[in-house]
Amino acid sequence: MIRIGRWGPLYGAILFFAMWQVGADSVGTPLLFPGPLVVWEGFWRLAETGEYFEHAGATLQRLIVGMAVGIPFGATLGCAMGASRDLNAWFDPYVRMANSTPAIALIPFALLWFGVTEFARYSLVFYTAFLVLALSARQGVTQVPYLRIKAANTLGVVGISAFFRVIVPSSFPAILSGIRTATGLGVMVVVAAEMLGAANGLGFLIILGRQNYDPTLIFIGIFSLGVISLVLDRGFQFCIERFMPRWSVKRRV
Amino acid sequence: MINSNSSRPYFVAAASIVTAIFTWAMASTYLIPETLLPHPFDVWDQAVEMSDSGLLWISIEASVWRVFWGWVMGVIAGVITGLILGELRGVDAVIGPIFEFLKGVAPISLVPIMILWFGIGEFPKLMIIAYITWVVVTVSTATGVREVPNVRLRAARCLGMSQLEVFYRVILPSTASYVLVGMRSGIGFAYIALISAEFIAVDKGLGFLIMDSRMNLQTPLMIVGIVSLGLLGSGSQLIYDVITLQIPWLSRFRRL
Repeated sequence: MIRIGRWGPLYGAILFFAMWQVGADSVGTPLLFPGPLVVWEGFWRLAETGEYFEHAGATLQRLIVGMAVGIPFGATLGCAMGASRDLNAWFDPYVRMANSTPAIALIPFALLWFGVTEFARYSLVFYTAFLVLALSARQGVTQVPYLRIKAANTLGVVGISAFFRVIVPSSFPAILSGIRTATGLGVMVVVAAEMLGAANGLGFLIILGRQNYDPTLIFIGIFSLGVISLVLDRGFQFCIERFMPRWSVKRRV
Repeated sequence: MINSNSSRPYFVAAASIVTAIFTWAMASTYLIPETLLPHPFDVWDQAVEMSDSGLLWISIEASVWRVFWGWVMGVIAGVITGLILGELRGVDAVIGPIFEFLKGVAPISLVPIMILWFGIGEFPKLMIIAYITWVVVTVSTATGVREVPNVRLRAARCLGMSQLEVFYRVILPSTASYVLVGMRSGIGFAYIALISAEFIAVDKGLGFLIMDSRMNLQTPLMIVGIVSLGLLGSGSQLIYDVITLQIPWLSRFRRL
């Protein structure tokens, strides 16, 4: 057995690029399927003028603003729904309805309401983050072990203070995994919103490539998306393990 | 009072829905222009009219056909790659990260390149739906294989099972529940991919209906499209749940 464990991802990346290059070579026309070298050249041209970072920055900004607003609101609603049966019954129909309607389907609606504005894109990410967090926070709160609440009650922590000192912290792992899910879905929504109406951002870059018949731009866009979601996901996980090991999901095992 | 307590959530939910529809009606009558928020009755009339003219059913049929076959292709491919990744540690160490990367590539971003390669027929749409289902099912299947309890594997070996027997009689049944969960969340992703594909290039289907209504500013049509899409999505998951829970040899794997 060769020991590949540690360097696996590196070999994976090499294999990925090699296959990409071979595939592109066998097609033969960079106008249809540009290889990694052609895409790298294109990326370099965009990066030199700073244009690339403008697009990537716009996408990231939309994602971060929408998430930053959506997460606290969604988590609050989710916790409230988990704690109160009446609130849960009141909001449950809408949460169900929204959950079965992908945010991408609402893009034309958002563009109709808010025009082709930054606010329309923020609102779509907000919607995604809000919904995912409401669902995961509710699940987290309802799954707090009954014994833990009883124990807190015995120790004199009751009512509202039990809610904040026992139930909310116990549901934290669920909320954190909700944030991870929301980030992944958020990237999808931002890109879709940018492709259907925007003047910058990675989604716009892809559409630009399509309009100008320049697949290099499309590939730069696709590749950047993969890298951004991977980095965000791994970075978030790393931050939890490193700075908040108490809430690590891995500890469940 | 105990009985009324158990039906209380339904009353609250009903009150909530009535309030919401009332607010919607009031807002569209007095506050918000009709092009932005049509009256609920107008939306209903639109739905009835579309159902009568058959437009709604043609669109639904086209969309469901795409989602179903794309999903089936993705599931088959995903189970195979997932089993390979989970079984062979070396392959997993090298290829696994590529799948983590692919998971972040939104299906909608692939639409332009698929159109460039395969034109605007049915094939590129099926590919996009199959692609995201494939990635989702692969990841969950591989997780399932990796998390087969070691005790089971050791027990099987103690009982003298061959490598192949272990695979069929221990690994496959232990993984089945993960595969079923992956297939279920694959449905949601397949619908996301479907809308993405239909928004950008298509001649019929619900996504096209929604996009087209935006161009013509037919807001009731848009709402009907979005709501039918939502109903279709949750309906598909419901059908999936019913099927997997009803078939005895499948339902015992629905523990997750």
